[in-house]
Formats: sequence, structure tokens, C-alpha cells
Amino acid sequence: MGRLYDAVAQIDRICQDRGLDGAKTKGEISMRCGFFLAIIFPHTPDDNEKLDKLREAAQTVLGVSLTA
Amino acid sequence: MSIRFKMIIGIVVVFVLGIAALGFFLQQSYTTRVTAAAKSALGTASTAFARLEKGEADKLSATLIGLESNSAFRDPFLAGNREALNAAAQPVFAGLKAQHRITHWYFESLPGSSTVFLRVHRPEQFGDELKRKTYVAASEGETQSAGLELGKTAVALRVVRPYYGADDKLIGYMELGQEIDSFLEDIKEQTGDEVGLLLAKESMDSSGWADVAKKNGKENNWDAQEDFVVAGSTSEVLAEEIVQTKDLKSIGAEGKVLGVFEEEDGTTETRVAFPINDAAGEPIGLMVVAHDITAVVDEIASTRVRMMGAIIAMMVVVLGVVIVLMNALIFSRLSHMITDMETITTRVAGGDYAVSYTPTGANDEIGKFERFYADFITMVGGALKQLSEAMKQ
Repeated sequence: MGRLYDAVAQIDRICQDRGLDGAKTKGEISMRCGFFLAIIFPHTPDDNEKLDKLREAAQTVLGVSLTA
Repeated sequence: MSIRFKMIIGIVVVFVLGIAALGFFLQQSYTTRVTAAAKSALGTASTAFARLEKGEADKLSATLIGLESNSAFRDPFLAGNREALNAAAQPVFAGLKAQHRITHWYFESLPGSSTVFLRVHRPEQFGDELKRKTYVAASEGETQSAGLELGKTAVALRVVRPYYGADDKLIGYMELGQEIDSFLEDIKEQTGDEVGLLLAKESMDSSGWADVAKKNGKENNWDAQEDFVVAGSTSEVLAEEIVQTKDLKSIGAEGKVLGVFEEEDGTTETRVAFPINDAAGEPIGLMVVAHDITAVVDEIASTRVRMMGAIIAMMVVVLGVVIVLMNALIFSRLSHMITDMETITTRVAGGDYAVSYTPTGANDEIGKFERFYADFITMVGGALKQLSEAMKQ
């Protein structure tokens, strides 16, 4: 599994833990980072630029630093 | 900057321009009406003066006709007996002066000698040559001549008639005259306006004017005005204001509106001037008239305030209605639509492909866009779902 997928999985867990609307929260992060989190799968190749944007968007929306 | 704010700015700009245009047109209307009132005052005063001059000339003419037929004057005049003529004329002249404001009475010789035989109003002075225009015109045509004559110190209305003997033979000329100072009060009585009389200085005598002023206990005002001297006024204030008026010499035959003035007592008056001409039609002075237009100005101001208030109120109501309608029909719906579209688009981006947008059903521009967006988001959601499933495998 790639780090991009791990990061999305971490976001899913945070949403679940906080009782957030997963679709809405992931949608907001997607809009900020510029790609659909819904089409990140385990076999999706890593992309450092996308990963940086994802971390930055997650920090803004959720207020957390992704460890992936 | 929001479209709502831009539109409000646009409407406010139109509103302000509208008020400015309204103010401009109201000012134009004010100027037009005040000018019309001033021109009306000019016409009224000049007509009153012309009627007065004609009426007084007719009075002098009728009086002359009566005097001509009196043998008590004719006989001593034919006999060349100045003392007897003067003795007969003096009691009659006293009555004419007291009752009819007649100030001058002449017995004049035939052309050739053209001299004054007797001045009933000043019997000690006689024998001087006659050059006045009324006498010249009367003697040249052997007919009546009438008109204003400007002397060295005053202006008088004079009527000269041929004087015939019992055998209808021309024996000389008789002339009656009256100073026109009384015209001012008469015009004031007729029109209600204050009136001032200016005489052209060019053919007058400054030392003679000074002597007359001294004799009458008045201040010598010869140098108060450049081209004219104030010969009389029904108002001291007007007399003082007249001398400060510039460019009076340029006033043409049709007269001139000198301006509109706000007085210290709160009234508004327009001042107009028209020329007065002598018997030959030559200008010899000006009549200045101050006409109170306070009522006109107040009425215009009141109308202006009411009209301005009504139009501003109407514009405020229209502005309010436009803003409320814009808000209800456009911006409020757009605001809800934007919130819904952001939520739906975000959810689709987050993987909720089943989400859909429900149009309000309005059959207008926004309604059409809502239907388009609903179809589009349904199509995009379906496509993304298929893509996601394909990529999952």
C-alpha cells in the first residue's frame, strides 16, 4: 500500500473517531488538494506532490498533521 | 465586490445623477420664471410710463386749446404788451400749477425771430432764442409737437401748439410744460414698483445741477454715477443702489433686466431699466424700476421643495422596491443555490455519488440553471461512480 492511500485511510479514521460526515469532510479536503480522495486505492501510485497537498488540506480542514 | 453591492452602487449613482439633473432643471425653471417676471415688470413699467406721458401730453394739449381761444391772452400778445399778457396769465397759471402740475407756460413768437415773448412761470426772463426740438418741430410743420425735453438741469414734458388769431392767422406759438418728477409717484401708484429717474449727463450742466441741488437743500449727486445723474426716486434705497449700477449706458431701446437682488429685509426684487426719449426720439435718460418678486420666488422655492421631496421620496421607494425584488428573486435564491451546490459538489468530491440536487421548479433564468445543474451533477456522480468502481479493480 502506498503512502497516499495510507493518508486517506488516516483521514477516514479521524472522521470516524470524531463522528464527522465522511463524504463531506473528504469532499472539502479533495476540493482543497485538487484531486478526488474517493479514487485513491491501495494500488494507486504515490505522488509526493499530491501527498504534500493532501497533508496541507488535511491540516486546514481537520487541524491534524497526517503521519503517512 | 458582490453583484448585489455593485448593483446598489449603480442604482445609487443613477439616483444621485437623477437628483442632480432634477436640481439643474428646477434651477433652469427658476431662472426662466424669474426672468419672465422681470421682463413682465419691464413691460409693465415702460407701458405705464408711455401711457402716462401720452395722457399728460393730451392733458397739456387740451389745456392749450382752451387757452388759445381766450382773447384775454390773445389781444395783449398780438399788441405786444408783455405786462398786460403776464397780468392776465398769472392767475390762470397759478390754478394750472396747483391743480394740474403744469410748471411751464410760454408765449412764443413766429419763426424768423423764434424768441420767447413771455415765460409766465418766469416773466423776468424773455427774448431768448428758441431752439428746443418741440418748438422747431411745431414751427416747421405748423402743427402740434409734444415730447420730453432735457434741459440743463431737468427734464420736462412739453406740448407746443400753433397760436392762431381771431382770423385764423398764425400769430405765434403757445407752449405748456410740466416737470416729470411727479411721473415717478404716478408710476409707483399704478404698478406698486419703486421707480428712479436717471438723466444723461452729457447734455446737462454740472454747475447748474449743483445750484439747483443747493437751492432745494439736497446733496449734489452729480459725480455719484459716471454717465447719468439721479434726478429722482420714489425710494432712497433704490436711489443709492442705482448709482452703483454699472454699464447703464449700454441699455438699448428694449430696456434691460439689471438683475435679481435679495434685500436685507428678506424680500427679493428684480431691477429693470428702460430708456426715455425726447421729442425727437433721442435717448435722454433711463427709468429704473424695482419690482418686488418675493411672492414669485417664494412660490417657486416652495414648488421646488415639494417637487424635490416628492421625486426623492418616489426614488427612495423605487430603490427600496428594486432592492427587495432583487433580493427575493435573485440574490436570496442564488445564496441558497450556492450553499446547496457547494455542499453537493463537496459530497461528490468526497465520494458520495448518490447525492442529487433538487431544483426549486421556478421557470425563470435561475430555475433553468438549477435544472441544468441537477442533470449535470447526476451525470457526473454516475460517471465518477463508474470510474471509481473501474479503478478499484
